[in-house]
Amino acid sequence: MSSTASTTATEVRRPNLINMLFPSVVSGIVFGVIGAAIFGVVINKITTAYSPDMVPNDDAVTVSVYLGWLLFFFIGIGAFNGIFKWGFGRHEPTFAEEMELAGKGQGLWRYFRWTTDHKVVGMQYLFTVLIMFFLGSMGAFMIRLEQSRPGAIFFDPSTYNTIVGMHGMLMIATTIIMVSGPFGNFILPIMIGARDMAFPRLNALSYWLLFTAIPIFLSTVFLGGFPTGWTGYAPLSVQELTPGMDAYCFLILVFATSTTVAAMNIVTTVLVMRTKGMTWGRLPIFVWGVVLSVILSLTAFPSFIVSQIMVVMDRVFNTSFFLAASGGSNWLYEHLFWFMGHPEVYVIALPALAVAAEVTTVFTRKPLFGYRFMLSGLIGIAVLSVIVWGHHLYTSGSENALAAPYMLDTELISIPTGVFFLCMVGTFWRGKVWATVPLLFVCGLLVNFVIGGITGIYLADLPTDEILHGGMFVTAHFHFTIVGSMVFGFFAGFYYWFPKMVGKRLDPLLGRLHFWLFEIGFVGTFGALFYAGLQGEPRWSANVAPPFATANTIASLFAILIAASVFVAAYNVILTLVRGEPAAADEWGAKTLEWTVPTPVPLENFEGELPVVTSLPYDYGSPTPERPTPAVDISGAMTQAPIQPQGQE
Amino acid sequence: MRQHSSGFIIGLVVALVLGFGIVAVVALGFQSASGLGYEPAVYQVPKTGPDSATLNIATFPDSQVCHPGAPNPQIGWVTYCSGTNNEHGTTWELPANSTITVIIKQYDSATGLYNGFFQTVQGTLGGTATYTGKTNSGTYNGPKSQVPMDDIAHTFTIQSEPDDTTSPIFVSVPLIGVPDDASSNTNVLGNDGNQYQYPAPNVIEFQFKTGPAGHTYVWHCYVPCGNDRETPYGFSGPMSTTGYMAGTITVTNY
Amino acid sequence: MSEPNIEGNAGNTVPPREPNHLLRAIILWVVLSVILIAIWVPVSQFILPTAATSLAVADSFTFSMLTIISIPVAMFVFVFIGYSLFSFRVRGRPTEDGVPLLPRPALQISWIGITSILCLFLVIWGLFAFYQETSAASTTNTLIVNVTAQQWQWTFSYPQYSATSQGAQLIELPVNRPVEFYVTSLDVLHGFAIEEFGIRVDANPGRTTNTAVVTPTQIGTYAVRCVELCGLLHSFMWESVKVVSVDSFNSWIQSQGGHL
Repeated sequence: MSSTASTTATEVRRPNLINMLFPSVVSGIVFGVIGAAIFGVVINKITTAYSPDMVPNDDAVTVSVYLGWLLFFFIGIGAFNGIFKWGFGRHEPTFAEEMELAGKGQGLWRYFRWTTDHKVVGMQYLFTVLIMFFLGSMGAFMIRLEQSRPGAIFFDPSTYNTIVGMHGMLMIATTIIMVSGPFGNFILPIMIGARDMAFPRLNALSYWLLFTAIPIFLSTVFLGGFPTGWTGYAPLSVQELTPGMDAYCFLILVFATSTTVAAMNIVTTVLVMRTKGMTWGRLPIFVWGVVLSVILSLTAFPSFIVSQIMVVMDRVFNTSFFLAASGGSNWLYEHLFWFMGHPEVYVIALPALAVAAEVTTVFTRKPLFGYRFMLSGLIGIAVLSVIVWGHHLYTSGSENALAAPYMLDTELISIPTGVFFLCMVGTFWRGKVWATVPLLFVCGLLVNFVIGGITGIYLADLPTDEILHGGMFVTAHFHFTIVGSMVFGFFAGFYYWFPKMVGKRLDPLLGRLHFWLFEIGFVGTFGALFYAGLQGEPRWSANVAPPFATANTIASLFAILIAASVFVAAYNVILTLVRGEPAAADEWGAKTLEWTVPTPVPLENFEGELPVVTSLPYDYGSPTPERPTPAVDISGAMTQAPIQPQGQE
Repeated sequence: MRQHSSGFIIGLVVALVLGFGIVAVVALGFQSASGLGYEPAVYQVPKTGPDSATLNIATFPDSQVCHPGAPNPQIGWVTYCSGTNNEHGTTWELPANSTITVIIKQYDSATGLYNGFFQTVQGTLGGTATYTGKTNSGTYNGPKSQVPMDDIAHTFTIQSEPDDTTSPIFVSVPLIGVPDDASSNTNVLGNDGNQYQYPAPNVIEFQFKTGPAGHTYVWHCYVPCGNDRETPYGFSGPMSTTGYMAGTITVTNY
Repeated sequence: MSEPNIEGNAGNTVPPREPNHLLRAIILWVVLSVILIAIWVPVSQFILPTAATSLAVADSFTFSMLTIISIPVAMFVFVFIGYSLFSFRVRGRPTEDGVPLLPRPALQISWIGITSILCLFLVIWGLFAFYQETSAASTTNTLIVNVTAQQWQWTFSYPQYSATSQGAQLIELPVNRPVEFYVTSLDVLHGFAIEEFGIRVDANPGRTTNTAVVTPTQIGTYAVRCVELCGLLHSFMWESVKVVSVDSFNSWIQSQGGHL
């Protein structure tokens, strides 16, 4: 594949252009397109030859095009090169080869190749997440445009249904990975004192699987779209004749594989690669949040994969898992989907809440108010979330006898959530509150999560669900939680860790503008939609009926503010990348390990020996003499940690 | 960057303008992505008098006449189109407070009707429709208020938008199918200039009244005739796509 | 106002009296909660949907009760965070740390205790409210309405009268008589919902599900809407429901071909 990397010069030498381009994302795309075409043509010919009407099976052709794209993309980007070189080649990779794979000496181009360095993967995830957010927001603005007046006026109802489905699925995919992807990859290994993740090549795989999934999903626009919204309910998903639905199914198969690979990587990394002295009781709360979230996703996503395989089989091979006329049942789909769907929102929530906790201690200069208490709250949320999915089926007509137990355990989740709130309030209380942009987003998260959580109680409660299920109240509730809380948590982490990841300081004025436009626009939009839902407006309304028109118009007007906030944030990022001022290595005065390494972070994270940790990174206000650096001993010698009463709570 | 120069403010304004511009471009892009479903151009149904108009519709077993050049699978979909020469689509404008005469030429054969509700003629003047032609069970020649379920190929059903309690319209007329053994001996000129062969059509004629202007209605077919009659497939494809077996009617003053 | 300095503060003689932040915050919390509850009670009738059956009344009342209980919970977070942002804020990077507060076991246990009691109260209230209203069994007097959902129209029949509602998107129901809807679908999943009756059940292909037995008590016009995405014209599926006097209903059902 390559000659050894360039020596110390950083310019790309012309003769190495071929080595740079192949393998890289460029060659991946070229190969992927060729492979997709080959598979498509071959399956087209085969299904036409075997069909009685000489018509190809469009769904089979579509699925095989996606398979071809996937397989050949990974061949083109060099994912299989390692197998041949080091698997069949019967020799272990040398240190120089590992470093080359980690992007040593390749400059910016390493972000466009199969690079194993967790920091590169983290940056790839970060920019992909931002782009996915931007695309998903476009879908949201289309929805608000259509719903601003009664009647299906801007878009034909089937176009609208496709837009709703694309917005939903893009945003769900984005929010699942938004914290664990960028920060779980870039920051987490440094935070636990490791040099990389446990499985660096799998790390690259998880990112490039996400990358290949995106064009698959966007291709639905050219294939007729899909009518089911992001939940993909059968039998509607089985019914459509245009192959756009297959894009949705395949996206999930690829995306869920990507997150499963990443989840296994994160769990293994935290299990075995914590540095000396970092016991489970000294793990920063951010790491706990990510670990709990990925374990939850390992439990939940297989059900999602299975449900989509069954939908694809119903579509391509005419099986009848979900068709009542042939003995199947739509309730099977609902249970499989929501068994994933409910834990999945906590997969989204746990890392964002953990980021909020992490950020708050830094900007209030206080220990976390009850580290173990908060941890028990997060664990309680994770465990309970697996057994509550039936509350999505209260009005399905099934499990009437189980409605009460599901109601009980769904409402029980409010108890560990309350623990989280107490710990957050306690961390703020009597701190030195430094109202930076990350802390503003944390405050927004707390305000919105209270509203989101309380409205969740309304939906969990059987009598109130009878007037709310399937209406815009549900939509407003999950936007308050997922967007108002979790995306705000992402932005808190984004503004907090950007100086470390990129090395530049985001403009605080634009950051504040972003926050206030977002918060005011968000509360206005979804507050109006709560009201519309209470009046009975159903979800997925291409045509907004006249009784709900005013509320929807108000919501659309507030959404303009949200749109403005997105563009302000984009401007901030671009401006900072182009001419932002450099950030300090210890930008905020935090005590976790990532702030002890220089910015930009060296390839192997820590120069010299790995640090030894002696306490939780939250010992602010400790009576021991002031320490300018975090509670680590980097001398390499084992030290007897002084017993710190606060550190043990 | 504590002081923010005027260049900074200009850049912010540009970013906002550019951003909303992107939103507009995306909206236009979705509107023009015809694969997602499209709204045909509006056909203003010609008036035949101060308060009457006549709407000619034809229903074909495929879309060669009305959408020539459509890709697979759409080319094989049942299609409704309108106008005396099948040159218009499924989006119509009707005059307010008028009597509308609808003449439907039905070229397709019968399929099963799942919901007996739709075998009766509803909402027309006189409660009947006039049927002329042959089906599997015999010949029709005159007004009827109900048709046997096995003779029905499609329906033409107009329904109101939600909460339209001031001027609701509900019209449903079952359309009889040509016999299964009819030979395709009638030439129809397609929109691409070619002639296509179909069986001699059955003709269904009825009248209904429109109310005041400013109301929108939707219409579509309720007989499953998509791919593979088994539920839910029968309800898919053309039945779920505007421009084929679903459309919009707006009542205006003209 | 000064904080009790951790590292000792030479130079000040007597630090100014520290206001009791906790007390202030609690007072603010209680006052705001009371004010908001006092606002909610009269305003709620404009926010909650019309309730035309006793089930819907119970649903709306539960919603109201949940709101009244939630207001202090929400205010706890808003007030304490807001107070912290205002009173403990420093300009620029802090030069010293905050007070290292940590929760004592007594606080942790009592917090879990209080939230658990609150949660269980909500659960028990909700279960009672729901089962009281929905466990009413069908009697011989109950009007049975069969609903068939199809893409994209509801069709209704009244088997006890051998009638099928014809000709318009309108059905009528007699006031003060229990009614039960049996719902099925011919194609995909639909959601049968009458907001003002407080009933909602999915229409599943291949099986029949039923709503609770409810008794409309108010004459008026209400709407059936579809609440489960079912394709192109999902948001156009609609039926008008008129609750009328018994005599009006009888003449209407006869006009639909029914026999009394």
